[in-house]
Amino acid sequence: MKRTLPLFLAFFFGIIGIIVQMVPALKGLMDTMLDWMAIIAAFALAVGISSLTRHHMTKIRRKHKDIFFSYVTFIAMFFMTIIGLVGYFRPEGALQGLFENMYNYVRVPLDASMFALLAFYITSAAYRAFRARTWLATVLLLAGVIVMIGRVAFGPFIIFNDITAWIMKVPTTAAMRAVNVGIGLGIVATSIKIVLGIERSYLGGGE
Amino acid sequence: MLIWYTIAVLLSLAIFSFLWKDNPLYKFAEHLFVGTMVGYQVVVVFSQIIMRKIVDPISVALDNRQILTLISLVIATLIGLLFLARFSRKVEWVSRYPISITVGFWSGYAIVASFKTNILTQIRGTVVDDLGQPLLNGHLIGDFFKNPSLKTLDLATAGPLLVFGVIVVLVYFFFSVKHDHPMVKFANKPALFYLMIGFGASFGYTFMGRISLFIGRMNFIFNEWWPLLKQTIGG
Repeated sequence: MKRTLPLFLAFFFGIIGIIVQMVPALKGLMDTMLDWMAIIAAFALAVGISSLTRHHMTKIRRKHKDIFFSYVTFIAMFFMTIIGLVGYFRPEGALQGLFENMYNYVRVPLDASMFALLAFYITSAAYRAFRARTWLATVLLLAGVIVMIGRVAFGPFIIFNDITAWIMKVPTTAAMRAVNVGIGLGIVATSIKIVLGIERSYLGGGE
Repeated sequence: MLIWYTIAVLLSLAIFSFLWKDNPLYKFAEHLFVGTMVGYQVVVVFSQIIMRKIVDPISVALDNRQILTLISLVIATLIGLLFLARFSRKVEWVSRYPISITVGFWSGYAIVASFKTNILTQIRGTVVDDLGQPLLNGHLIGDFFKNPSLKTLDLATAGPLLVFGVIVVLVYFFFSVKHDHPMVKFANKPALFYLMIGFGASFGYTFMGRISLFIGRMNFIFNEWWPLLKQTIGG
């Protein structure tokens, strides 16, 4: 019951996952299964929220020095949830507008700034990785620099735009295509292992 | 509107303050980010899944007496609810059922999908181009010799170079034979050359993407928020 049935379920639904894609007549079953998966996965959010809540509750209980930030997380989470849910039922109400503003002027700028911040960190990582010590590192450096210039080329530098287009079209496509084939074979092999019950790490430890 | 714009600017600056060092302003913005993201996700799941895929279809099925649809939706919801067993130590193992169903289904689904997109489509793209013309096309080489120019050179060499690149990189990643095999030895250097160009170009591409995000934030501060602030203060 504890391990055999889950393994059987993985096998059974794995076979369904294969069949629905290979038999066009089972399009209806595929749609139903996709809905099922969306419904089942939605409840996993509760596990995520409970984990986050437990983490911050522990911090608050132990009076951690960053206790204030745990309150910030809680308040932001509950505030966003409540105004979003009320806004859903009253789309014309003020809370829906507030929810949209929270999305546009809090979540979006934070998201964009977080990713923009990475530009500075990949620069320092690149400085370490791109030092032209060997011919291979030199090739890496040249390709990176040419593409960077090519993306913003103007005036006499426009030639870099053409070189970038060629680099992306021929050697990069070739390398990434082979990498993709490797990734594809890896996905297929791991998936087969999961469906056949050889790979069981997703069940976690214990009995 | 100025208040919201100012909040957006202050939060962006709070995130960028991490470049100086880890500080309370950054931590505030970071935790706010996590909180709002989770809250937003809850609302999306509620509106897009709970309401649209469970509550609404169930009420429609009840109205129209579609028993099979009703049973299917109820079973899916009950399986999803089994996730909540994780909160009890005694019946925690029950949460393995929804996990194994989703992992099993998506694994089976991925076998066909990945085989199609990551393997077959990629191999097809290495044999013929988007128009169905072979990549190893002798006519294009002939065209180059008839009318030598950069364009005809590109047309003549792009296909063969691409095919050669894919083959040598695949051979480089093939670990089932020893690396002192002459074929593998031959493929080593050109494969690394292709890979380094690929990684360098991907890095440059990603880097410029991140930079454009940064420019976007700066553009917002200097070209949207600042003029609005001046306009508001100036009356």
